[in-house]
Amino acid sequence: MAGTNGFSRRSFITNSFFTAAGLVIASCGSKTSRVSPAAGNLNGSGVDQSSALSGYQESPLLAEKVALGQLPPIGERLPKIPFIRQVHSVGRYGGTIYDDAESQGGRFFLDGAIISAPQETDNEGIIIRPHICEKVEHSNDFSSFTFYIREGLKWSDGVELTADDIMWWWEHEQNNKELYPEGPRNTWKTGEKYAVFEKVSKWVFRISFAGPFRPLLNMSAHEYMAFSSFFGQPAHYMKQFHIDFNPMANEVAKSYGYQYWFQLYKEREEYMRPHEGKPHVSPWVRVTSATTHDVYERNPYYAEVDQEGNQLPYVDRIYISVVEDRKLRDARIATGGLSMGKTVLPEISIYQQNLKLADFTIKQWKMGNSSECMFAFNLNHKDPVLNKIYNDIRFRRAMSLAINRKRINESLYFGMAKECQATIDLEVSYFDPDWQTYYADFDLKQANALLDEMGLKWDNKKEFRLMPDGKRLQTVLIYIIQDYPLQLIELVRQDWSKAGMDTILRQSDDQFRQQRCKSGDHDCTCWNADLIEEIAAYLPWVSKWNPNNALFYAMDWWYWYYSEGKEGIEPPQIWKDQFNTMARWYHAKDDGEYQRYGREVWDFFSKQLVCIGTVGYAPMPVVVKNGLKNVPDKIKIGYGTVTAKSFMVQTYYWDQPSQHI
Amino acid sequence: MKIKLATFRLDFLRKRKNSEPDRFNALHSASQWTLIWAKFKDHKLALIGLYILAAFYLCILFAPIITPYDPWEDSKYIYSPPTPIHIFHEGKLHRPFVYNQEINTTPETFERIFKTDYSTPYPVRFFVKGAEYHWLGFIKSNIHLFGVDPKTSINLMGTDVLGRDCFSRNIYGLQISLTVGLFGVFITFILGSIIGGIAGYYGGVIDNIVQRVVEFISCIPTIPMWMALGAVIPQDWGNLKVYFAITVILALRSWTGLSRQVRSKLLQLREEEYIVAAKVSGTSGWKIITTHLLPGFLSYLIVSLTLEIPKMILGETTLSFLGLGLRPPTVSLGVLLQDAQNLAAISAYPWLLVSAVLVVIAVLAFNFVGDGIRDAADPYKN
Repeated sequence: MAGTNGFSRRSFITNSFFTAAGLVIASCGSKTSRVSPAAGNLNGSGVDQSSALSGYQESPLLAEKVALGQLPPIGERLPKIPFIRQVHSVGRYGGTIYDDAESQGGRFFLDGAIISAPQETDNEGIIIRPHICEKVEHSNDFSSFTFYIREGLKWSDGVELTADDIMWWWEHEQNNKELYPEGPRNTWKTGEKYAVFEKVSKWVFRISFAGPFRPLLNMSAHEYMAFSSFFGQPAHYMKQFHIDFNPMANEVAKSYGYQYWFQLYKEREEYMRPHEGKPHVSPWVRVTSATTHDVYERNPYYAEVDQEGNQLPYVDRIYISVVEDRKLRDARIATGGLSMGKTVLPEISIYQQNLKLADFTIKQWKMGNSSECMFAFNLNHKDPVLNKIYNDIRFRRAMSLAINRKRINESLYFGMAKECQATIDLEVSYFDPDWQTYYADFDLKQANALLDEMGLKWDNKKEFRLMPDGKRLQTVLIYIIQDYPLQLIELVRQDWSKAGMDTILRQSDDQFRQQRCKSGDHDCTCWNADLIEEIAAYLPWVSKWNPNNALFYAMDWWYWYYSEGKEGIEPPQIWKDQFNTMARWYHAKDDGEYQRYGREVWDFFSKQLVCIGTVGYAPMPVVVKNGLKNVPDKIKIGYGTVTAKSFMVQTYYWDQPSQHI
Repeated sequence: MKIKLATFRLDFLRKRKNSEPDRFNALHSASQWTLIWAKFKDHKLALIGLYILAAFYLCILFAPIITPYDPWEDSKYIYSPPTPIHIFHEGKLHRPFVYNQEINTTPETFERIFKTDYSTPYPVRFFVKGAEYHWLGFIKSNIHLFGVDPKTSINLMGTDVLGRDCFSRNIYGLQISLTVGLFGVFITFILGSIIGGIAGYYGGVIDNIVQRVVEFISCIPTIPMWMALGAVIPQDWGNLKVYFAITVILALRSWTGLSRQVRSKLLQLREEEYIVAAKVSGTSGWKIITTHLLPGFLSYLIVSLTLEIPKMILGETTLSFLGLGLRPPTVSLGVLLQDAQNLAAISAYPWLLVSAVLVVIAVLAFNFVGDGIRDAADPYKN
């Protein structure tokens, strides 16, 4: 799907927070025998625990409003059966969490906290279980899915969230010709037919496909996918911007500086960090947005309570300061200015020195990257000579062999990362260990031998290699500043120059990079590779290994496939097969097919070395202010367990809330 | 005054032929440049500045020989502080030497702990073999001015995040910062004074045309122009080449301001009697501009020139966001300073800030020299 690039994949999940053992689970994979998501039992004992809860407690902040009559009492705000979260320790209400963002409304470290999906995953990214929805049932062949919204669930403004909101999204948004001239995305197609959305009752809706479409379960458990696909547009709010329901919608749009209603509507569609005033189902909702700061306040209707019936979240506010300069943000973390933050690994000793002064603790989390940085050559290069070279598998093998991963690991990651190829998580049921080691050893001799075999001769000085047309073998690597240390790129540049390739480093901003890459005017680019767990590997067309995503290594082939041969360049047969296998995989009928195609898809990506990995699974120490409780000690961060629920920020609390206002 | 100068010239030439050392006459008959130099020498700060610059440019010229390491080569000595040079080993006097450092990483806290091994002294040797380089681009060698046994390492200014030698990097940084960037300044200077000079001297139609051209060039907006350049400059140009091109292009735009100043000054000067005299005696226009008019306000030009130089050094990296400024792997003072712009550099690795000191020294030296030249440029003042 389009538009996933700027979305860095982090997530935080805790082992201790779940009593996953007996849960009735649904899953996308099939490593063990999987149970369909049938019953709505939450704690596995089969007993509806909500009946064991005598009543619900709420934040004093909200209790005050209830007393003043500004809010209905807690019992009326929560759905009939709220989600019961087993928290590590029951917390106290109050306080503020501080974080920084790069821009107004931009991403911040804890931004996963402000979104919730119909379902959620366990911390391994394997099991899917209900969350905002009470249960999700599917037909045996995975062609129809019934979602049961928690009865009485409300948006943050107190209006009920019903099947009508879902129908709204499908009928008035996706199928509106002005908003989406090309109709709903291809994801919703099986063969030629679009999915059918139907309202079963006030709280129940069904999505049916012409054939099997298993990834819908994964999508519904993935905050980003769920919200970008079908969940989370409050009809009663969005109506005011829709021309079919508000004849004045164009005038409204004009008052916001837009020309047409659909431009404003699209702005308000934003789900990750919704516009202030837009109702949401997340623990916190944005109440203030300014150029200097964003403020998120607790959602009085959030449908989650802890095991003692205290409504979550514990913390009242999240305050995001806008700090444009990255180094300044790092400095604010290092000096204890924020409640939590990511450290810069090569400079970790600074944080160690500041432990007492800045009053924080360092927790050793693992970074969810199967590769901190991976490199992809443009396989649709417009220059025929370079195109031929990049498309030669021997060249990509040589480039991979030429990278001294051990050196990168030791100089930049204290030797704590794993030197491996970029691929999916090793816990995935169809994982093949070869994928990680495929041409991942440092072997300059073999690399040079491969390049010699290709006929790329050295120049007279034996400095660089020459291409068949006599020009120097030169590659421009266009990159942006990301989480990885920039020195990593420099080390790779040196390694490649030892194999005779002259690499020119071109730093750019992401807009410029995307512009160049999307039009296919680049040689090589790089990006991080997420930890792709079972659930994430099966999200249709979002992974960074897709030709059109993040690394843009084969845009023309992708256009060809996506436009069914009308645009772009016809890919070679093996790539056509790959695209078809991917499509077949998403419509797999049974576990056998799922496994077989999944294996084929990832085997192809790995063995083609379209994305050349460096080192992965690096440690990511984070600093946590002393006094912030329930922050897990160890965490695995991946793409499937990404964002919202995996942070579990709603369970954090301050031991002295009054000191953190 | 300027007529006098011409006489002095003649005198001086005659004197040179006769080669009679007569101090008094020599002073009166000395050329302008001789007088400038004599005056300049009186300005102590300027002289110091000049020596510093001379030293810097010598370092630049012999950079690969002076530096003990390749500035891009990483080592295991990551963030190593400057290596102390000892002369006493076990209480006895010893030729200058260094001790080896052992590095251990603690797995819990990821801290690198440097432990000095006091058992073996590694003497600092001269003209040692090390990394290969091409001096001036064609002389291949591997001899370095100084160095130590490859088992250990000598880092006079410590090392950076990849264990690269900061001393070597700073010397190479000077090489870029004090040459490439300044080239643009000189283009501005030359174009500005010559075109401004022509416009001011001839006036009339020529002046009119030049002024319209100047107006046109100065209305080109800078940011869109840079953006366009960012897109137009060939992708496969290296960092340095792009930067060089940009400085030249910027210079081709920024001479306009200077040319206007020169023009207005010349409009005023050309009415002076000595110019009229020169014209009457049949001196060519070009000669009048370059020998009579421009030197007349050289001091002003020098000030504007010296103010331009620090701007250039500090501005090296500002265009990086468009992919036009200097970026690693190019080593320049600006790039090195970017690496040093973080909290860690100040609190834990202060040796990274040496680049800042070098910038300050270079800029001050240029300013002092400029100041000295400005005072000396008008030797007849007193």
